[in-house]
Amino acid sequence: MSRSRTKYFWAALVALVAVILSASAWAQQAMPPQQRMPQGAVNQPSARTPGGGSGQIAMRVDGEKYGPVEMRRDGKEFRGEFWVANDGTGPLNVTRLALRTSATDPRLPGGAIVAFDDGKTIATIQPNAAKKAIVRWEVDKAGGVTELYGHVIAESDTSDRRVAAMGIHAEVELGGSPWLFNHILSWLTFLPVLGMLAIFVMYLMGYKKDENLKWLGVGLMGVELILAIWLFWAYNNGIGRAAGNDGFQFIEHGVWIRSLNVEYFVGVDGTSISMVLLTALVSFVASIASFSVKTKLKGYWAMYFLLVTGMFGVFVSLDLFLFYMFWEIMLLPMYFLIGIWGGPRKEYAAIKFFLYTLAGSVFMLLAFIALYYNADPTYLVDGSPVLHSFSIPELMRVDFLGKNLTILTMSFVKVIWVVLFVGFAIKVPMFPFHTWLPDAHVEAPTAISVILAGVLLKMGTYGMLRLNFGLLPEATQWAAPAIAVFGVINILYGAFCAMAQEDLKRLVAYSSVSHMGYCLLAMGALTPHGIEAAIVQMFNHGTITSMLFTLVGVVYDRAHTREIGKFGGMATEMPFYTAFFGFAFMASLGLPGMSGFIGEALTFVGAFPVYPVMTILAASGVIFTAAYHLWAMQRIFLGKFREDWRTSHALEDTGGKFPEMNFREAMSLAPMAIIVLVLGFWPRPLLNLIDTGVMDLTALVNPPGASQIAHLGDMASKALALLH
Amino acid sequence: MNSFSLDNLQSLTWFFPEIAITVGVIAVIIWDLISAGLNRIRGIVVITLASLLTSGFLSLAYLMRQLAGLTPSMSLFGGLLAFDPFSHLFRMLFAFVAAIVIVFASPSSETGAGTRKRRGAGEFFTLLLIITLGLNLMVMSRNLLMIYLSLEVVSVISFVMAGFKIDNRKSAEGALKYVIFGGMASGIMLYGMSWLFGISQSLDIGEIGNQIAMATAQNGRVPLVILLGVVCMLGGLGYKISAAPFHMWTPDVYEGAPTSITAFLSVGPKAAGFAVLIRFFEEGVKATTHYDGRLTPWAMIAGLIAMATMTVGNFTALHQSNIKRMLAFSSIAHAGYMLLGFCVFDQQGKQAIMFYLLTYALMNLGAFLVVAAVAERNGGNEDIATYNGLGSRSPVLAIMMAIFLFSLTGLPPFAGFIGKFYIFASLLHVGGRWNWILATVGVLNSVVSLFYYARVVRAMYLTKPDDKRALTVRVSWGTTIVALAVPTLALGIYWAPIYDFMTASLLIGR
Repeated sequence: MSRSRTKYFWAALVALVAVILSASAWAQQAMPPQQRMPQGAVNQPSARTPGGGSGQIAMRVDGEKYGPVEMRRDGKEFRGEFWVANDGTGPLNVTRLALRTSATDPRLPGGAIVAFDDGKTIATIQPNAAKKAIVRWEVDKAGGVTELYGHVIAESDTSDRRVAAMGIHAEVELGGSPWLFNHILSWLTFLPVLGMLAIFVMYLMGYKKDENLKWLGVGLMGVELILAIWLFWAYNNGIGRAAGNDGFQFIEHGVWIRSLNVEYFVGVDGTSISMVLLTALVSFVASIASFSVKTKLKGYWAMYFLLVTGMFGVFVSLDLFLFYMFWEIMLLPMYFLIGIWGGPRKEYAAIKFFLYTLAGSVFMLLAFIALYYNADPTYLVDGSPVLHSFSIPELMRVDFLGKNLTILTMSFVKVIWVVLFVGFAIKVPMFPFHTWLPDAHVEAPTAISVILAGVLLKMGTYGMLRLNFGLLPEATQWAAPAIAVFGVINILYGAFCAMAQEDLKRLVAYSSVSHMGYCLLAMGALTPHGIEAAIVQMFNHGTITSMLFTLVGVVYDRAHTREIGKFGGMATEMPFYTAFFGFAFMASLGLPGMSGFIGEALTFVGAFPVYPVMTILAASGVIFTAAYHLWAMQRIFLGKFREDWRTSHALEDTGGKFPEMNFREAMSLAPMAIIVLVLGFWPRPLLNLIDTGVMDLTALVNPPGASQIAHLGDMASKALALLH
Repeated sequence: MNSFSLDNLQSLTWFFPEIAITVGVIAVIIWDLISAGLNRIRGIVVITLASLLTSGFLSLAYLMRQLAGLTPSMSLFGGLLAFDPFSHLFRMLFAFVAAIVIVFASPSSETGAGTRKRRGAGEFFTLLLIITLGLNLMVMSRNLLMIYLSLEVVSVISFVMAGFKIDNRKSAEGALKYVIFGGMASGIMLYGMSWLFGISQSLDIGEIGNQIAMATAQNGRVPLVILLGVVCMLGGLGYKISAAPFHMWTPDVYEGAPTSITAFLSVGPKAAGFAVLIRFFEEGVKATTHYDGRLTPWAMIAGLIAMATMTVGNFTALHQSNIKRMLAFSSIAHAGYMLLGFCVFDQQGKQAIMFYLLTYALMNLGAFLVVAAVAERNGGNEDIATYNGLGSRSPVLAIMMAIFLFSLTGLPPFAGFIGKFYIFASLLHVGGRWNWILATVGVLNSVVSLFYYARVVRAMYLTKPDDKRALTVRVSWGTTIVALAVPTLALGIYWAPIYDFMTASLLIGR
């Protein structure tokens, strides 16, 4: 379409959105209320009580159609009011007004109380009358929790014993700018989308200086990084599940699609916080590495931003539907980023990546639907009762095993577990689903390789921890040995494959396969140490492998080849580069003093008590890892420099010399190098961050039973004592 | 019969959407005769659009009245037609689809509308209005004879429209195949109807339903005669929705017909076919997935057809190099997905199909519009190779096409994903072994479909253009494309109002 006509489209677009919005609003209004009930909502009219009329309980907030009650701060305490009403024709006895929480399942942070305005928790309400109830929350008693999402429930003596609920919400304003900091996760997730829209507007306005877009990219990713650092600073790592809100922080929770019980529900806990930080870090570094992309920059940055949105979204979403949306949204930009800006076989690599991941995730979708329909009745955040829910914390409470369900005559939990696991394993990638990875890596542009290895692979393991471990702990115990076996296969197979590679990028790709194997082995152990190791390894591999891919990109930009055999004696040509490269390789092979070592060592500590033989096998993998790293280094950097480079076509511009790394390249490596070094000597900040989450997760998959207390618990506490 | 069965005269009050279209038909013919020049085509387009919009808004008004409880569901013309929210919703959909097709067809030379030399443009628009009338009658029919008649109205006019490119051999070939297959399918359906009539002594599908239920209860299972009759009916309706094994005509007709007609045929008659299927199986067969703890033959047959349709459609589409042929096979595959929702025979499945039909209408019409726009600038060449480098030749058009194609694949955040989600959810909601198998085959098929949709995306973005010049699009088409792409995206992000509205409106009233 010619540019002169784009204004028509612009106008049409705006007009259409307006028409749709107004039409939908009108349709919503025109519908009688009883037809607006959510699907599966519990809405039976209350049965008649003897003696004429019957009471029917309902809870309302002033002026709002739906809850939750927004509690307002009043000095030290939060305070909110709502009405318990009787919609029936007879008197209603409210027998109990209470918070939806218990000692065994603490849903709420401490310090909250609810009562009617006369201080009692029982009341008799006449027909068509309502009684005011007051909910209060003393933040000081909440043990550091600064927000509260929960429900007040009211039981009445109507014969159906219907329990009504009202959502309550309180939140301490953070950092002086609640519009930003109280919605930090949404900002992190959707800020890149704003960048994308900005690019679209630039296109419509006919902006031509595409090379300036990289500053938009770096700037936006810088803002993301700053927000993430604020998140790191503000995250309270002492809060676990017992502290209420299911251990999540920075929660945002609202109803998205009422008829499907889908909520916009995001939050971070010990399992995801490190991944959110990693995402911000890697996408910032990769945005610097993106400077080497020179063509179709509008498209590149638009896709890059969408990818970042998808990544953040996956790590923060706590609703299965939302999770799936983000999980899939990532595929589109990735396909284009590899397919358009990639290497010679980009088309093959792009579609292979797309098909592999989609094949895994469509089955995941079926698993999500199955989980949804077999979930227990609960309440949405606004208090509306629902039969099923996509909310991950709610699904974590469902005893799927106890329901004795079957799928195609096989055990429900096992089938669902395997389906989810395979979906995630493709992303990890786990042997035998790994074959897309080397292709995708080799063909992807440097920055995208960095993101792919640095963040996308972690989504697989994160998904396992969040969903396989979180939702189906019993099946996890059943399958744990298999995870560990696959982990060991990954470690050894990846290492052997890496050894055989001539292409430096392929070598690094296979090293990723190998390193993700440690995560799997560690996870499979189900010990506190194992799970901690898995997360630590995820974070550390993300930082280290980002460096590796950036370094490969640096040499490729100069030599236009990555064939290891063509290099030699590069140490004399690019000493600074060699130093960085050596540092990254040493970190990758697990040299003590660098962060790579921490993950591996923790893995062995965590896995050894459970799988001694496999751990020994895996540890032998370290030797192979060292072998291929050192061998590759030796071939590239040591020995004599090949003089034919002097006359090579690739180095024409620089007079036959390899130019040293420039400032930009160094800047894209330095942050990661510092983190690798700091965490290598002092992993406490990272461990502190995830400790509570790990403990909660371990308690779920590995509850201390009679046999386990002696075995695992003891080992674990000893090991933890050693490390801390 | 029914508690609310109106006689012919009373019925006319509730028949205004159809009357509006009929008036439109007559008005177009008259205008075509009395005007000349550019005014002629302008007037025709205005008249057709006006009558369609009137029809659509009247249906909406009826729907609103019924939702507000002002008018009960009833039977018109002594039980021939139904007046219920279900049919209103479909009539609105048809008015919308036909209106889009009018915009689509009006500037195109393929339909004879753009040129004044060959023949009157009035012909095309008259036919389009009549076919819409036929579709409206189809979704309202609750009488075997009425089903047959309305189906034939739609079929006969479809034959004519498929062959509208008069000097094109492919168009003629497609039309002829269409006629032969259509004749055969009608014959089979009529045969099935005669069985059903013979057994139940009634043409009213509600009465047939009672008879079937009684016979099923007596025998403990569905009697073979009834099974035979219903399967024959399914043959005729399967032909309309191009379900395997009655899909053979689809690719040739879709390829040969003018693109606007292809777009119409791929959405309108298909939706009507589903409406009749749903109504017939709900009212006439009273089908359920399980009877007495066992899978009913209905669920079995519908499931088998669904699986076959999806698989045939998707796997054949993989090898196509002509984009219209590819989209033809893809539309077969989409009929298969919708049949999955049909297999469960419940309210949720119905909602899923309805929502899917809406999203499918948006994305399929959009995709065909892009096809027409690209083909027009490539001398009528519909090869996928003509899409090479479209991403740089016409960025907005390529983005829109990518949205439609990814939505057809069923990827979030596009409407197609939500449609598929509801389909699979309706299967797993009922559960059971058979439905799990169906769902598994369904998702596998959507992975396969990615491959051929991605081929077009690959051509648009990953391949270098053969011709670097910018590709321009007519303003009316471009606007319509954007107008279809925006809801395709918007409904993938927030679809609650539309879905809730449909849920409320999907009642088949007696």
